Amino acid sequence: MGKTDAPVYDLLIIGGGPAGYTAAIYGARGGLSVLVLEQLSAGGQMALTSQVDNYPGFLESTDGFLLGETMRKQAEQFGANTKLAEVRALSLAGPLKIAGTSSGRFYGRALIFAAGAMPRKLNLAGEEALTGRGVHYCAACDGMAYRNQTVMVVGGGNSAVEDALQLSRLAKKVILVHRRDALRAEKIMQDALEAMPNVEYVWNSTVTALHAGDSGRLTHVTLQNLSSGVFSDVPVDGLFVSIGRQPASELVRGQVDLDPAGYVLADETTRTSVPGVFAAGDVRTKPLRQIVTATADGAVAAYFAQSYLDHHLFSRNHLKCFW
Amino acid sequence: MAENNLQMRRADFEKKVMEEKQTALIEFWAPWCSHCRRIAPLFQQMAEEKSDKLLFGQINVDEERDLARQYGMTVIPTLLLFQGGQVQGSITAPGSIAQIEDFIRQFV
Repeated sequence: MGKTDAPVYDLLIIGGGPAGYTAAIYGARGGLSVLVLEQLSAGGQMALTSQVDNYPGFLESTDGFLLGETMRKQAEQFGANTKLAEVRALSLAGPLKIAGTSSGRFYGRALIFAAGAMPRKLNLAGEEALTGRGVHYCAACDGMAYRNQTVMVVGGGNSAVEDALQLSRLAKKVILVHRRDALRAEKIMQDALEAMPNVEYVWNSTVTALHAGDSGRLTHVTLQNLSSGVFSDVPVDGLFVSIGRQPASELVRGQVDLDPAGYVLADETTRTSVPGVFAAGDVRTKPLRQIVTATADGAVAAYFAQSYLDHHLFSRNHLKCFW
Repeated sequence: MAENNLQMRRADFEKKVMEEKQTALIEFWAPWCSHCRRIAPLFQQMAEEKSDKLLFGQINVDEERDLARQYGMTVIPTLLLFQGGQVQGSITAPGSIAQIEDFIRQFV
């Protein structure tokens, strides 16, 4: 690392979702110079949905994409900057945190990693087109739309069982499809699910095809029994994919501590194993991944980043002397 | 998104891309497509920044079904790069602005 004449921001934020932009709002209002690096558009996963019903403060459902855009504009109103670029490498060890991107390098004295965690997909033809139109990845978010209808949940872990349980309270029928013959979820969760009379189990099976009607919405799915090889078509109103999440932590692997699933190890202070580096939102270890917990992390991360900068050895005016 | 000046109808497309053979990046999209909405701001930004290099246009597959069928659209958003009135390359559901920029760089 050598001397740099490029602008050095107080706070570099990786990811422009609710965690990133809340951190930007709080950082900018705290007097820090802030840059948010986002590869696609503000909002992160939230931007994929036009119906957010559980974010506090809205009597009617709000549009996730617009909510993301509003958060961005709010942050920019307070002086935060946004650069649309793909981050390809991060260097976190030194006093200057460096982001190598498709549009050049950016420097920050502190860094908030808010790159999110994408739900794993089934990777079936038409899945993308049907997302939000019968295919969902979040029961807490979208379950209400299927009151008194028939839904299918795919998965065998705690998330799948939690989702099935939640849906069983709303839907007429829940069909839980798992590729093995036993669930991986904790026993107490399995027992709770078994107590629900409207839950059916389909074992040793996977979804092999999605089918839509003229309206472009999901109408039925094809299942294959992995033991017998037999296919069957099952009509469903909604399909919830709960086969886990993929934290977008590749950029920091080997530089900060991760848990076995790949989430960045950080508690509610958002501090990681590296001083000056914070993890906010879905990408860190946490029990509940929602917009509201992401925004909370953003604010806390900005708070601790500010505290870190205040106590840091190098003051913002003297940083150049050391290079 | 539907109000921006990048929206192209068949007549415009045929004139500028087919007849005039302008080098163009054309995105096939639909209002109900969430990923299309996500890339809208960056497509707009690229159109503003690179208007000297190529023509940017968006075709709504619901309104221009024949064009969508003609170019074999099955998944959207799909961006087609036209040169000399022919499709030279395509990219579907780009995950980042960088992917689109890398794609364009192959041609202009």
